[in-house]
Amino acid sequence: MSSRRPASARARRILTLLHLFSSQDSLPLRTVADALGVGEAEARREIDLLSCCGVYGTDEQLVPVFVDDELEPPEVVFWGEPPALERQLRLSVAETRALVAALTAAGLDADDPLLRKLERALGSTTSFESVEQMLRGATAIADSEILKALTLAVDEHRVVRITYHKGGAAEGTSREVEPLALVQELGDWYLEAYCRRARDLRTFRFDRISAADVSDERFEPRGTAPAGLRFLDDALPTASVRLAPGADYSAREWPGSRVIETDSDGSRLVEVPYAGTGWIARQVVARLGDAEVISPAEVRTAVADLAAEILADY
Amino acid sequence: MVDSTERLINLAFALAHARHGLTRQQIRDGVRGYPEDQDEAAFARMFERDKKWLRSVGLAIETLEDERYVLDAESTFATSLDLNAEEAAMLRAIGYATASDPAFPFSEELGFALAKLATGFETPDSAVYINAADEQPSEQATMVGAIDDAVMRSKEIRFAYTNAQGEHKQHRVEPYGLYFRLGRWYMVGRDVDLDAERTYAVTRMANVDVNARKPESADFERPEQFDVAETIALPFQYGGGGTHTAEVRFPVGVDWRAGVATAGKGGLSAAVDGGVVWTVDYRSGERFGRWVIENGPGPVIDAPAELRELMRARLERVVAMHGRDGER
Repeated sequence: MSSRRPASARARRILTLLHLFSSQDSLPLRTVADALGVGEAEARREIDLLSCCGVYGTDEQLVPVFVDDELEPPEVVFWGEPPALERQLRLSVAETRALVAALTAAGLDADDPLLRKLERALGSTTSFESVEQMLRGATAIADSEILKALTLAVDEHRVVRITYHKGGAAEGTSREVEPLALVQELGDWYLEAYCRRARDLRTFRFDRISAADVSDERFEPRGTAPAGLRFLDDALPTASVRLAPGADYSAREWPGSRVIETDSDGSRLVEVPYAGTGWIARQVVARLGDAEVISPAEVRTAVADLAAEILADY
Repeated sequence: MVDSTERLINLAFALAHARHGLTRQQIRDGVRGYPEDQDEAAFARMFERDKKWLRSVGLAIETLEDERYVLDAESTFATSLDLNAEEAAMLRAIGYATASDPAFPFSEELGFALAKLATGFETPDSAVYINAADEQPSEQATMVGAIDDAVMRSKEIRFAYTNAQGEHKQHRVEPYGLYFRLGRWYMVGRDVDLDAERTYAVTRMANVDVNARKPESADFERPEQFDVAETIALPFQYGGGGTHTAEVRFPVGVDWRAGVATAGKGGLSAAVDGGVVWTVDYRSGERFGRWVIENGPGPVIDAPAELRELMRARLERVVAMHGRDGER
């Protein structure tokens, strides 16, 4: 029985996969099945099909591949060179667009050395620059080197020393952390980590991290938090905030918030979860009088204090 | 009968193997998969489709003067890619996290790009999560996919749009580019009826219809100097009203954040007493003041005087509203 996938999609996956065998003589059937996006039975049929492909005529040479069932688990074995196409293919136009969009949306600058390196090795007729003129993400991160370093640290469970400016303070504090996950929410990057100084899990905003040094020390993940889900905490306290008639409101700016009452004059009462009074106070003050905290008292006080502090600069 | 998947792979092998290229007849005779009883016209159509497909996946097939088809190896095969451990880890983790995000419109193509980067198709065991959009992520991705196709082929699109004031209107636009910012995709193009360049949030668009007439020919020419990055503005730079210029000071200690916070807009220069001065245009004073506070602590508006006055009056109001009397 043949696959229901379009022939072009099947052929594309097989052709893209070929170069993986240039550096390895065999791969587990399971890995190849994952690579082809199919189950093992179908992967076996695709390998059978590939073994019938190649160059015909006087110079006949087929792809020397088979599934070795005598190995446990079964492996896809290459017992020679394919007739051609054993090298990595350059990116197609559509693949270039996808890669540029993904990396710039992650925060890499258009002239980041990594993008230039990828373009030199894999670029095709379409330059990365011409793609960037039509399609790009606009996520800004202070330093892509920090993102690269933290990705490696998360991957390899390595301890990192970061300089963190809590609440954007001028003076940063040095903390040793065990990085658990990196999360991007609506364009902002966060690091979830076990902080050895606080002896607890902490979430750090990337734009408040001014330095990150990955050490050689490795750690055993403590497994204390569902990584990547720290923003869905139902246990957070909530504040009641009244928004003036016509004032902008979007739940995306205040995650987890909801309108609980709308008055006839158009003003709205909104319930807003908050992890710290510093964050919510800044959000309310920034609305410059279009938002008033009704309760709790600690948030009202924080708003008054912050507004007075900023007022001193004017 | 030979599977058409097999025919496509055989054609790729044949072209890659023949150093001096192949004539159409050699391909017909030598590539297994083209039906022997096929008439010339049917073969020509099938071969054209196959050739177009091979080009779309990255094989650079050229036609020589004597009508032989040859694979341009330099344009087809990558040169060696030397990634350090950090770069490889980031590409793998960010790549797969992005491909898994329902708001990302090019997941399939990204998967192939990552496979060509030798990171394989399989999802790595990584702890990187990307939730790029909170509003209708799948719908945004679908619409962006259609609009991007129109951008690439320079095809006009029509759509219904609901603006921030809730007003509905039909638009006819020549799409020049797309960008993604803070959870939303935006399209930039020339509104044909307004004869002006405009930016539209994809979440506010509906019934996107790409002009299906003459699919192989462009409906318009994108301005040569167009760069979508230049259209990405900060929140206070949109809207009506005049443009004003402000100066914002990032004092010593927080000046390191100025570069990323200002997102390449305006100009940064050294302040006399240390720190950095940011000179930037704005349209809405209220939105600008809000942005400055949201990006604090640290930045302070130094000019113009009327904007400082607005900040003073509004902040006094906030203090008065919240008093120091605890819960209301």
